[in-house]
Amino acid sequence: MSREWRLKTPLSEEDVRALGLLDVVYLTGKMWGIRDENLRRHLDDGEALPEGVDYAGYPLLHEAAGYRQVDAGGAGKNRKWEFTSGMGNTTSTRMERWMPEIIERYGPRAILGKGGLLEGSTAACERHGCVYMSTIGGAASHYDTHAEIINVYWPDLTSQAILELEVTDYGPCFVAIDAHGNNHYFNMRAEQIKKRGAIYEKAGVSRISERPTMTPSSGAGGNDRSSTKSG
Amino acid sequence: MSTLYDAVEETARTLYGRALKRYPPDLVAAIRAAAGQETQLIAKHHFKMMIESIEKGEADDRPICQDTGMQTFWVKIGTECDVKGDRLGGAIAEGVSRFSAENEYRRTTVHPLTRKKIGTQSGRGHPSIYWDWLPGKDYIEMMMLSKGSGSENQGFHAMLVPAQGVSGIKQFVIDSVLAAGGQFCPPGIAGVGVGGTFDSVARMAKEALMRPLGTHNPDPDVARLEEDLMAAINATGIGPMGLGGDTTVFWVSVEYGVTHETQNPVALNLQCWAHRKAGARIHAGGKVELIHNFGGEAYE
Repeated sequence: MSREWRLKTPLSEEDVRALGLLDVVYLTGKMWGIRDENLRRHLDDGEALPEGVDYAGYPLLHEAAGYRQVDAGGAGKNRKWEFTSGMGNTTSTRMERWMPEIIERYGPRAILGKGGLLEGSTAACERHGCVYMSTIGGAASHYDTHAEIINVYWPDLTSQAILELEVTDYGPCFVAIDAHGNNHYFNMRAEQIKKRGAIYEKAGVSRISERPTMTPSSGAGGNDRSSTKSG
Repeated sequence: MSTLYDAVEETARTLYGRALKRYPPDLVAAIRAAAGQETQLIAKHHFKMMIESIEKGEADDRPICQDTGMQTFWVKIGTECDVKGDRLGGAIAEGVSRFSAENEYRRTTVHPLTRKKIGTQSGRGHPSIYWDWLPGKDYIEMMMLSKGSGSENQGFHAMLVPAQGVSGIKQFVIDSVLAAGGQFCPPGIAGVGVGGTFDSVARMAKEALMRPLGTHNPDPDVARLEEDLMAAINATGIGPMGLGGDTTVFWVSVEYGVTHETQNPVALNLQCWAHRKAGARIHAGGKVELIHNFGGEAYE
């Protein structure tokens, strides 16, 4: 049965090791917003993270944001940035390639996003004490009222910059990969594979046929999809 | 007739904002209905938050989803309109860019190779605009979809062969949905194109998303395919955000066209629950009414 947690960041290893699949979490404290282009610049192009960026112990949100810098005279001392079109999550699977290294090198305690992460990240979460939490895609108008931008690193990347965030009761976040090697998406997938035959039969898929191809087959299905495609 | 071009630009601008901040009533009703029937607690929690964020977006006059999307327009021009078509596309593109710039909203568009932001929302080949005609009418109707990338990336296309038949089409759709899992922000809509050619089948899949939810294709064979696919997709149990639930799609719409006797094209364009669709009727004098669907009653 899923439990509900209200946690303050930075998170401890104990905090996250206690979490189970489908527990519901609300986070308060500092959180970082990361995504494709800032991961690419750092890990592919080898540029060091900007000074002041420290992921150790904090949640990292696979985020998408529209924001602007607020005129210093305009909107209160501590609030230099504000959301315009808002901030929500983005598809995590797209960033699977970079996440095991981020978890291993920087020690974040939670990754937030949507759609899940794959084998490499699941193993890294288990090894280093980190969890993955799914937030509700598209519900930015709810989530971003629980978040503020404190600082923007690599602002030239605009909506792909690194965001330092302060969040209050940020949630619901649903634990989907725990710190013990369990991945809810993989459990779901195993169930789906089990019932796939029955689904085919009920839909009237009478024969599993392949599209003729001159290259060795990658399995039934008859099309050439990439399994890591995501958005 | 410069006022008509101005009205078209202004309408494109209005519709973009409208689509981001207010979701169509058939979508909201579908979410409520699914919430009522859902048996799993986590899925119920998701539906509750979806409704809350839709209400919050409307109350705060802000986008509900953070992804300001990629824009597709379908434009039907009354044959009695005194209008030169070559200027209409530019007016629509300008309206979209102006909306983003004025509100400092996230501009999503980049060059496909350098991945650099182009700075405006509209650019080379974007937005996509499809043209059609309204015989004898003196107004323009315009529908737009601003589609998020989480669902657009879950687009699948295959040139099957006739030997694979309808069975192959169904298998392709089921396998594609399983591959997508929670990545398309389900529950959503499955737009399917069948037949046609390499290019037209993809366009049909996207156009299928514009059909009002709960409306079947008038062709009974196609309607049966819609029913079979809907049952199959919801039997996967993918559910809200892929965490599990009874509803994975609210509806399946299939559009078809005749195809070559040696071809069997199929395309699937999945849509998220954030169905950003809006439309308008622009009268010759510049008066603009909002509509939910082509030929639909004006609601504002």
